[in-house]
Amino acid sequence: MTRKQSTSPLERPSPPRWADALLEWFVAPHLLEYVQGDLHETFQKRVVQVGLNRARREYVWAVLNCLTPFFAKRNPNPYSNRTTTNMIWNNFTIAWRGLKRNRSFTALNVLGLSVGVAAALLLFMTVRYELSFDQFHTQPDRVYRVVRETVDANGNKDLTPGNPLPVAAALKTDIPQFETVVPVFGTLDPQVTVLGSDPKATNATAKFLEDDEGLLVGPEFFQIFNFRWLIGQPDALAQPNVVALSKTFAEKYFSDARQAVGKFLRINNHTTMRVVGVLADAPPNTSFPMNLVISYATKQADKAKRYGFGSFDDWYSTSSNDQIFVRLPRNYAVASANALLARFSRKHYNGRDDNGKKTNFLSPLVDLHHDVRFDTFSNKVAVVSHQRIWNLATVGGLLLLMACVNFVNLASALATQRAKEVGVRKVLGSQKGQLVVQFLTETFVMVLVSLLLGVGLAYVALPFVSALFVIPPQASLYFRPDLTLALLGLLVLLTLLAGLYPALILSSFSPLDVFGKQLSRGWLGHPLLRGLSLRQSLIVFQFATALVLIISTLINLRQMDYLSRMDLGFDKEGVFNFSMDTEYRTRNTTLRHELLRIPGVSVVTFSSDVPSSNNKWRSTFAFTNLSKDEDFTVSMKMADGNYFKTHGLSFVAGVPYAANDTLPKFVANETLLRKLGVKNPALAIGRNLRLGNTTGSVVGIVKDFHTNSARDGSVQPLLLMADDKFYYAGSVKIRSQNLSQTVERIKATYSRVFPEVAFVGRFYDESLNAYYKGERQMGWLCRTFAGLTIFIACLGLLGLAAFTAEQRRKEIGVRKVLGASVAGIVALLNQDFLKLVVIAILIGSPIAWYLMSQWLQDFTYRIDIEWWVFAVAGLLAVGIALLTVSFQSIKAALINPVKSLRSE
Amino acid sequence: MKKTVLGELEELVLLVVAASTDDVYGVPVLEQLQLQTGRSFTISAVHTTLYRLEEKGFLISSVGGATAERGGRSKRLFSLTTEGGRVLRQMQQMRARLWESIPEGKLHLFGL
Repeated sequence: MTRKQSTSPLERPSPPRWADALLEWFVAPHLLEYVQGDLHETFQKRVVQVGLNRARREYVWAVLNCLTPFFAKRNPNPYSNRTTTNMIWNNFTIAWRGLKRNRSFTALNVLGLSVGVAAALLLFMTVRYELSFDQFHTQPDRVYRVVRETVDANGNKDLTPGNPLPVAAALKTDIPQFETVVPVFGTLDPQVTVLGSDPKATNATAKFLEDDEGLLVGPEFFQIFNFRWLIGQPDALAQPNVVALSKTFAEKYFSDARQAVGKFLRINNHTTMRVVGVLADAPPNTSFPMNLVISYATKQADKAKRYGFGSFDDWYSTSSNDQIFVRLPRNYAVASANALLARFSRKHYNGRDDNGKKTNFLSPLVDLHHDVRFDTFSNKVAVVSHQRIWNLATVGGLLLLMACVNFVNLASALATQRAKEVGVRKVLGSQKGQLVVQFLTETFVMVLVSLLLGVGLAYVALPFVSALFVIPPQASLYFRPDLTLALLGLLVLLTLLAGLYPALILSSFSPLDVFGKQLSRGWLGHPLLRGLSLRQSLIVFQFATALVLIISTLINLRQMDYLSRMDLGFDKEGVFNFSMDTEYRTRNTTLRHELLRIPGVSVVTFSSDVPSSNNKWRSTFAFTNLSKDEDFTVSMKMADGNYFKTHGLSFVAGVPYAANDTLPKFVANETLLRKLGVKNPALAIGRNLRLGNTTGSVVGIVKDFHTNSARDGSVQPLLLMADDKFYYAGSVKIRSQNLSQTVERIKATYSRVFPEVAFVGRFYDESLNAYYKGERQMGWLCRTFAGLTIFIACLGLLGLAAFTAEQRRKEIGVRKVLGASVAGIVALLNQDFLKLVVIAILIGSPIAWYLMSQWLQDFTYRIDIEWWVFAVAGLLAVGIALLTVSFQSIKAALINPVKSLRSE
Repeated sequence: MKKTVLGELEELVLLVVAASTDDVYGVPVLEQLQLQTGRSFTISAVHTTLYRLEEKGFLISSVGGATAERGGRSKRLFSLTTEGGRVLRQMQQMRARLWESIPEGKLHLFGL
C-alpha cells in the first residue's frame, strides 16, 4: 500500500550520505548514474513500505554489494594521448618560454629559493661537521672518558675531566673489566727549539712556540684512537723523552718529513727529545691535537713537575690536563661500568674527600666535543654544545622552509594567471593528466635552476662561513655524495609541492568557469579571520620570523655592549701581558729592572695569571680555626706586591704586601670575608690564615674583581700570595702615547734577559674580547640570518604585492577614472599588507621576548629587556614592508587607466 | 549455429525482459524477479547481468527518463533483440526435448 509522497525535494528523505559518497567514489562514471538512480528509487519506495531506518540499512547493504570489480572497472579513454618524446620536449620549451615571459617574477622566485637553499646547505654542513667529531676511530661507542664529580657539604657539585695521577694505574689493577686504560696529558704549550741531528747543539735558532700542542700519550693510545703513523710504530712511545710529529710539523721543523726521524728537539728549554715517528695529519674533526705527540713515559720519568702538577702517588692534586680514556668490552653496559667506578671512587677517596664526596663516572667519547661541562685539550677546537648545534639546525630548517614557502606561494599565484591559457588548451583537446605534467615540468625547471644556483652560492660562500663558524674551509669535507641524494629529494619534494597545487586546481577547472568566476576564498573558517588567505598567512609567518631575528640581534648587541663596558674591577686598558717561563725565574728581578727603564712603563708585576683568566686554581684553607679546613675551597692567585697597582685593584682595608716580604702574607677579597661571615673587613687584618701548608697573616682586603668571564658566574672567594715558583705571566702598565713602540722595547728587553724563550704578549683588552667569542659569533649569526630572513620575506612580499596589483588592475583603473589620486591608491594597496605586518609583529614579539629571556639567563650580569627594542624592531619591519610594497603600489597607481580598461 | 551458454540468472533476467511490454530498467526487473521466483536478488547482480547480456548481444539498451525519486538521474532501458529471442527459443526447445524424454511411468511415480 503506497501513499503518494507529495513532498518537495528538500523534505524528501535521503539515503545515508556516506554510502552515497562511497558509491560515487568506487563506481565507474559510465555506470554510476544508472545504478545510483536505481538505488535511490528503491530507497524511496522502501521508506514508504518499511520506514526510514530499515530503508537506510537496506541501502547501505545494496551499496556494499555494488563494490565488485565489474563496477570498478573504468572505461578506457577513447581519446587518450600517449606522451611522445616530442611532447616532452614541447613541455620543456613551453616551460622555458613561460619563465622568460615573466622574467622578473621568475628571477625573484629563483633568487629567493637559491639563497634559502644556500644558507640552509651551509648550516646543515656545519651541523654535520660538528657532529662528526672523533667518530672515525674504530668502534667509538665503546670509548669513554673517566670524569669526576665532587659534591661538597653544601650540596654544590663540581665536575672535572681530570683525575689524580695514580688513578690510571689503580684502574688497571682494580677494574680489569676495562679493556684498555689510556692516560693522556694535554697540552703542554711548549716552546720547541729545533736542534737537528746533534742533541747537544747550543746555538739553535729555529724556535717555535706551539700553543695548544704537546699531547703526552703512551703506545696504548693508538689502540683506541685511529691515528695513522706514516713512519714508525706506536711502540716507540714507550720510552721517555721521545716525540712523534705530524707530517705538517715534521716539514715545518725539518723541511722533509722523511728526514725527521732520528733528529732532536728541545722542549721548553729543559728537555731534549728524539723524533721517533711521523704521523699522518689528523683530520680536522678531532678534539685531540696530534701535531706534537710526546711519550707519556716522559712524564712518568720526570721528577721536576715540568709536565703538569701532581705526582704518581699524590691522590689530592687534580688537574684537568690529566685525563683518562677507557675502552669497554663489546656490549658491556655503561651502567655496570659506572657502578664499578663508584666502588672504585669509594675505595680510593675514602678519607681523602675533605672538600667533598668524589665519584667517578664515564662520559662517552662522542660527547668530548659537545659537553660544555668539561674542558678539552685545545682552545682552537672549542666545545660546541648540542644546544648550539640544535640552534643552527633550526635556523637552517627555518630558512629553507621560508624559502620553499615563498616559492610555493609565488608559483601558485603566478599559476592562477594562466587560467585562460588552461581554458584554451582544454578546448583544444588537452587531457587533465597532460596539463598536470606540463605544470610540473615548468616547476621542475625552476626548482632545478634554483637548486643548482643555491649549491653554487654555498660553494662560493664557504670561505666566509668557515671563518664565521670556525670550521675548516676544505670544501671536500662538506660536498659529499650523500648531499646529492638529499638535494634530489628536495628537488622532487619542491616540484611536487609548488607544482601540484596549481596544476591540480587549474586542470580541474571546466573551461567555462575559467572565463567567468573569480577564485578567492579564505582558508580559515573562523569568521574573524575570514579574508585571510593561505598566501597572506604565509607572509605573516615570514615576517614574524624576520622580526624575531631582528629583536634577537638588537638584544644580543646590547648585551655584548654592556659586557664590554662593564666595570670588571680592574684596569682593562694600557695593560700588556706576556708569558714567562718559570724555569728562568731567577732572572725575574733583572727583567723588572730592565723593563722599568723603558719610558712609558709605569709598573711591572709577575703573577700566576692575570685578574680575569681561564685558570681555576683552588685550594683548601683554614681561617676560623687554623687546624681545621673550611668547608669550601678558595680560588688562588700567586702574585708579587706590584700586582694590585699594575691592574688597578683597589683595597677596602689594609695594604698590599710588600714586594720583597720574606714571610708569607695574604690578601683576600670581599667575597671571601663575606663567605666566612666576617662583617667588618678591618677585623680580618692581621689575623692568621692557613692555605694548604702555608700559614701567614692577612695584610689587606681587596675590592671584588671579576676572576672569570661574566658568563661564568659571580665573583669567587679569592686569596693572593707571593710565590715566584708560579709566575707564568708578566704584566706591564703602560702610560705612553706610542703604544707599539713601547711594546717593541718590551719585547727586545725580554729577549735580552731570556734569550732562550720566545716572546708571546698581548694587550689585556684583546684577550678579554676573546672570551666573548662565542657570544660575538652568535651576534654575527643573528645579524646574518636576520638579514637573510628579511631578504627572503621581502622577496615574498614583493611578489605578492606585484601579483595583487596585477589582479586589481581594472579596479585601480576605474578608481583613477573616478578621480582617485595616486597617493590614495598607493595607500589603498598598502593598507592590506600593513595589516599583515602588524599581525606578524603581534605574533613575533612575545616569541622573541621568551627566547631572549632564556638566552640571557646564562649571564650572571645581564641587561633588562626594554620595551623600546620591540618598538624599534616593529617600526623597522613596518618600514621595510612599506618600502617593498610601495614600490609595486606606485608602479600600479601610475598606469594609464586607458591601458587597463581597454579590453573588456 | 554457435552455441551460447547462459547462466541461470541470465536466463531468468532475459525472460523477465522478454516478458515486459515496455523497455525495462534495473528496478522493475528486480521486482519481477523477486515476485516470480520468490528469491531475493541484489540490484548489483541484476545490473551486472543486464550489462553482460547486452555485451553478448541479447539485449539492447538506451538512456531513458529521469525522475525526481532518482534525484534527477536517468535510467538505462533494456529491450530484447532478435538474437535474444532466438537464444530463448533455443533454450526452451532444449528443455522441452529433455522433458519429453522422461518416460511416462516415471513422471507418475514422482507425482507429476
